[in-house]
Amino acid sequence: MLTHFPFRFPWLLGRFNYKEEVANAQQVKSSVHRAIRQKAVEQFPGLEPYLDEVMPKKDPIHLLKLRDSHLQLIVVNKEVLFFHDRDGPYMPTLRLVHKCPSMITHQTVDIGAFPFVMRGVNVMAPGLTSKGGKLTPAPVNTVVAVMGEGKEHAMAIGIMKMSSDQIKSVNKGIAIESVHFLNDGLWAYKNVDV
Amino acid sequence: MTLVTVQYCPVCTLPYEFCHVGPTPEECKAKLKALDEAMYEKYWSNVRIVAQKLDDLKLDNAAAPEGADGASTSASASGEQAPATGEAAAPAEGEEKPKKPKKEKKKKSKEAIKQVTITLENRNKRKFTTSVEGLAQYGIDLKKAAKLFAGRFACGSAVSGEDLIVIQGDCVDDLMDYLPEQFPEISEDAIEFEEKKASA
Ligand SMILES: [Zn+2]
Repeated sequence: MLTHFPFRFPWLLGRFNYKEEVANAQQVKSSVHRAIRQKAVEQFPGLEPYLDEVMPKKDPIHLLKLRDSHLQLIVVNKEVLFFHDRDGPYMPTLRLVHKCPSMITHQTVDIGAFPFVMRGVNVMAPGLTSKGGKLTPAPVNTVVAVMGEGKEHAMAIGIMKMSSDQIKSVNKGIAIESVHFLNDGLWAYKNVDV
Repeated sequence: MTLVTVQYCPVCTLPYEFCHVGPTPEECKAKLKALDEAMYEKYWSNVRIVAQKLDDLKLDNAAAPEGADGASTSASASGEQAPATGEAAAPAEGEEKPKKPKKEKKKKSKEAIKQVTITLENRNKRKFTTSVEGLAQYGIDLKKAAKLFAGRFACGSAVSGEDLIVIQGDCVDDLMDYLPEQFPEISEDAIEFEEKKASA
């Protein structure tokens, strides 16, 4: 069967050129501006204390639509803060998570999984349940930050494909689908011109 | 509330603690040493320990048989299997994952394997063609295969040379899955992928 992901994230693969991939960039009107801020806080309550700093009310928000997909990037002050697919959940970029780490649930992988995560490979359950890993309780489909054993900063953003309980009991298969990792195409996309 | 300011390496753009797995560890190391001795000590002293740990793990892996649990990797790429400690399942294209056990295997039986090569060619900017070479070795009717691809991937596909099928569009991921499914005699190890950069 064709294996279609619910989303496809072009920056996970090496080849990605935003100049060609961004179909259109638009400043959003104030009602949408409000809605975006609200959705961000709803999904990441931990972001609230920082919201006025990362998404100030007066600063324009730009939406970049990508070609050949339904992906959108949310850009404020030349920096990509979130991306999402259609009406899917907001996924923060690593630069945003580095700024306010408390906004998101953290899952820690052991040292053996570390090099794989740095290449954008999905996190398998044993990487979280072994003794170097740390599994924070979370339901399926939660957007999480992937941390490395002994590291201070997040190295990937992913979506839980199983709940933390399932991960513990099944202990095999894909636990977290990687959607963005350090040094991928999205990381390299900074100082966005809109 | 104030935001955290993470210091990023001026060479590789990653947080300093990730320099050692970045693209240019040696340059990063030299740069940070010149910039800030204290930071240099902090980050690079424990890197050696981490690297050592990783090496140990790798040795363990190499020693263990390549028995990656054939667990159905559900939605993810069917391409490569996880090494024994269990971490993989690559995002879609498993282009450049150096996997030790596999490489060795390949060398041993290189003559025996009839190589099928998939090439992705960039025509202009966002347009691609995918070519498949080596199907004839398996006694596959090329014309029929080309029609099959055309139908399956909803795109143009034609035989264009001895043992060469050219498909319009980027069908690499789909082919990787579809080839072994449709022609069970082709093992996944026999499929090679290469990418040609645009000439323009
Ligand atoms: Zn660096």
